[in-house]
Amino acid sequence: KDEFLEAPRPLEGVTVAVKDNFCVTGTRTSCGSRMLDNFTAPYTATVVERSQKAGGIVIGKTNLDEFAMGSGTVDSYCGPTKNIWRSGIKYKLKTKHGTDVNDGSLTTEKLADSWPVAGGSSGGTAVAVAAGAATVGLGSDTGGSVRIPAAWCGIPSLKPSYGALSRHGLIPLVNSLDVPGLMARNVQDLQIYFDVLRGRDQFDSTSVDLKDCDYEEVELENIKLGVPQEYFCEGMSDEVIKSVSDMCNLFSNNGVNIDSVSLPHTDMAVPCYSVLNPCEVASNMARYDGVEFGLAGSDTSYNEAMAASSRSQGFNDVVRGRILAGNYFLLRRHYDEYYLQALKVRRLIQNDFLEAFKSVDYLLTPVTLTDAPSFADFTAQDNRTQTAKQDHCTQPVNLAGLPAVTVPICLSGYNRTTAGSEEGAKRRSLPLSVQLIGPYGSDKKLLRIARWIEERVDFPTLVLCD
Amino acid sequence: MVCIKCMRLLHRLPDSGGIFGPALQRYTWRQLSSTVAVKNQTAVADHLSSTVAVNNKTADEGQPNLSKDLVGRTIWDPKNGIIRISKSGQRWESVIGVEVHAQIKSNSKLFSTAPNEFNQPVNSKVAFFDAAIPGTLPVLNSRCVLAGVRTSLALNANVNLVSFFDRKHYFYADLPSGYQITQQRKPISQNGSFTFDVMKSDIKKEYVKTSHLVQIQIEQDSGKSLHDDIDGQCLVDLNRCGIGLLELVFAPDLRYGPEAAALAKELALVLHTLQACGGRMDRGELRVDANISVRQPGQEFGTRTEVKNLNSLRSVTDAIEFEVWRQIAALEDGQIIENETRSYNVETGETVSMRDKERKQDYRFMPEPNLPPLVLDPALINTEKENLPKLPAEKRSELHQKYGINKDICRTIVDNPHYFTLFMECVEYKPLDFKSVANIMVLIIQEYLLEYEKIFVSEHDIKSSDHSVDEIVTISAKDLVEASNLRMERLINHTALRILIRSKLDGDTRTIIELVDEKDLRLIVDRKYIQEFVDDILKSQSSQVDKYLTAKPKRKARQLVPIRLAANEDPRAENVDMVIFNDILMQKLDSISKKD
Repeated sequence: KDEFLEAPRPLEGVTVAVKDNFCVTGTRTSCGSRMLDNFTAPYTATVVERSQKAGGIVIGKTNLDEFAMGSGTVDSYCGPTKNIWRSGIKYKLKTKHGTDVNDGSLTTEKLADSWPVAGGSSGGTAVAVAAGAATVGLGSDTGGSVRIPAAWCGIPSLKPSYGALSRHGLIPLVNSLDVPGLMARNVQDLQIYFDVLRGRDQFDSTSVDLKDCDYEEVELENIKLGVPQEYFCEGMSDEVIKSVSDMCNLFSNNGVNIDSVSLPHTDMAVPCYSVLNPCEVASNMARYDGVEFGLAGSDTSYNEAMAASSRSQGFNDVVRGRILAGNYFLLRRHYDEYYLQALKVRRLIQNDFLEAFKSVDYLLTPVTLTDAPSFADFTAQDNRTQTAKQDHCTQPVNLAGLPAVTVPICLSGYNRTTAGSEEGAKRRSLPLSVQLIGPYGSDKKLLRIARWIEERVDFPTLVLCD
Repeated sequence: MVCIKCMRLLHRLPDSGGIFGPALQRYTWRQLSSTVAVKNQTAVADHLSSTVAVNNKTADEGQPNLSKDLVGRTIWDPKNGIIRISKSGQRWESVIGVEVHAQIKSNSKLFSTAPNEFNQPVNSKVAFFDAAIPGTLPVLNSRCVLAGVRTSLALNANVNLVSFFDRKHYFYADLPSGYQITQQRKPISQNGSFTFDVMKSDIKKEYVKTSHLVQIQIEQDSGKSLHDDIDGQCLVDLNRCGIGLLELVFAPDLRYGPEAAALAKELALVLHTLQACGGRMDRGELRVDANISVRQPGQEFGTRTEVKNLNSLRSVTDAIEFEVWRQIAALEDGQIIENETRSYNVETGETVSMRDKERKQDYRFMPEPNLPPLVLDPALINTEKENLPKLPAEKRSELHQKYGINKDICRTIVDNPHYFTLFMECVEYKPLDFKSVANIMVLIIQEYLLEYEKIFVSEHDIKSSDHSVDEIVTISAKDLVEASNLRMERLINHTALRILIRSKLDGDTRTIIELVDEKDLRLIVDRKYIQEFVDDILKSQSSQVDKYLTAKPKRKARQLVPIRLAANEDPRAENVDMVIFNDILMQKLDSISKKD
């Protein structure tokens, strides 16, 4: 329409991929679960509505682990999501200037006998954006669900401060940790998209207006970065560690102070999450009884039987397991020992950050332990084990409600286990990212620093053939 | 009936046959045969106390065993308060604590924008949040919070400047989210008290009772399940789901069913005055749960049962009394009382165990993560405190002390807010006599309402009334005062007054004066006319007049009665000023006696 061409809105004509746990009027919103396979949302989530009002076009709903419980997008009722990188789809790597990447050590071929997982739980959105099917994407981040798939799919992402984006219409996993998260193909798009979505929403009492600032105003000189030692955990690959130290060098070469800091309770984040998550899951999932919406179980002989059959038929093992654990933790006789204790640990983790931000301005950390694992390797361990492992660097941020940004910086190197084989002759060539964590409300500052990084690293762009 | 303490007859009985005569025995047995039935009991005077001690003594001494008179009865004992005497003669004390659920009067529901309206088509007032549609979030209605604050202040409770919301989990078809949002950890207010009058009953004169208020919490109402027995279906109506409730938790301070009913009645009135709740039990706006246990006086609390959802004052009294006596009988029978939830069946008058719900529920409470702590501004609380409306107790004492209205009439007027409004409007018109105004309301208007089954609404509330037009009647304060003043000035008599008021209630648009004139209600004060009337009466009653004249001065008044009665029976008495009539009558009689 002419009027839009004369005064284009910020997202005019921009394609948006929406994770299938955001309600969009008239569309199926399944959460990757059989339970909601028949659920057509009667209203639209605030973040989706704001995207549309800004001119964005929702091109589709994207896959996720059932009810966003997972870190691989392998546990969906609709099946797993393949990473776009090295999963058999033909693509080329281009430099920032649009020329082909000319590096004989890289490959775009399919992994031998498998394909890399997309990461999760927002794997569908990550792949859609990485493949260029959508310009920007909406995911949800409870323990790393936006940052992990973005890192593995080689795109930047933002996990905003808790409350900066409205959760109205986001089907919850853990209400007190959930935030809608954003993905795009470059940081500038993330900045634009974040400005479109943020701000208080009357439908979400926990949403807030963050103190606004102009991206260009962010001071890049005289900032102090901290590198938390506890983030370099067992099982982290050397090249991930090296990628962070490369970044440190980049910063210090540009006059930024880098310091080592300690977040002593980092190891407790995952155990703490393992209690808080099932508790809220048990509570949030109580509504799926087959009465008002969702799968109605086959046993309708009486109330409880109907609820029981709906739930056992509608949820996968992961969801059912967490409901069981959550109800156990919430029993009156266990509440203090588990739930209350977890809340105290959560406070300790938050205090770690507050303490660290007294001496440094932002934190620089890894996002994932390795590059994207193959489907075969990833599914060799169950959902719970994988989540506990993969969320190590991302989880504490959610517990503290802080903002974090991830930026892809390089492609991974030679694989030691396949060295010498035909496969090992080339580098793994999968994306690696770093994470920036800031104090509450520093979302825009983080995005500005991420852009600074993006401008200085030679991360290739993935372009599909045909 | 006999007082066992002082061995005095309290009521004149037909042929008592002496204190322990057979007639008395029969009488008491008949009266006492029903075990529970508070309503069946005949009056026992206040000083009928320490009875059992005396009883035991008399029994020991081989006297007729009077404990039989008290078996299965509730008595007042100045030392122990209200005491139950079981069939086996043991003394028990019942302990009752009530929880009142009051639906908050607000335009929309507690956490959603769906309207809060009664009696609407099934599932027509349901927001997505109320149906627990995934992804919806609660948004707290400030109107409900204010209602909670006002109620807390009126009940002298400490308002918490910070309170929290929690989720209470249980599965039920009419609870779509699988949890109720309530305030478990820290409610909006704590530690209040509530004072109310307990009406004169079979066991005791009217008395004042105070119950400690443990806390007030704001929570959601559930939907309604309708069980279709024919198809075996359970149908759910979510119109009520999500309406705000104030749950008022009272300490176990009560000892008797009627006390709980009195508490509920006064509370309904207070909440209505505060505009916090409609207070209508018949609409489920106010529901009472009673926690009941029994113990032998001086012992620890017994195991309690909870009788849920009592929705009339009658049910409150009857359910509690049934449950008390059931527990006593069970305990004396060697059974144990289980801590369980029971429901009350109005048809049978019995409480029954609700076995379909788990007996020991673990509600798995957890903080509601979607609502930040509720933080109240002390300034807001102060404003609310200053703007608290006059409470019923204060209104009653004002009516009594300032306008000299009898206490029972004060109660009737204050119990009906429309009466109170009308009365205060009447005060503006400066009636000659306040009592007359009050009497018109509680006698003439009340009688009219009962007769025609109508509801009285004060004039300026008519528009806001939720009753249909043909259900309600009204009268303006101006008309009422005018009529009352006419009566006080002796321009009309009581019959005429009644006619005037009833005409206005009927909706007659003529003014009071027009009515008086057109219905010819003015009293006849024409002395000549009245003189003729007196003469006629004296003539017809000549023999009685003779008796009067010859009677000794002390007996004269008695001899006058038949003459006056005769005058009243005369149709002319209807509109003659009987004061003038009496004047002339006495003059005439005087002059006759002088002549003699």
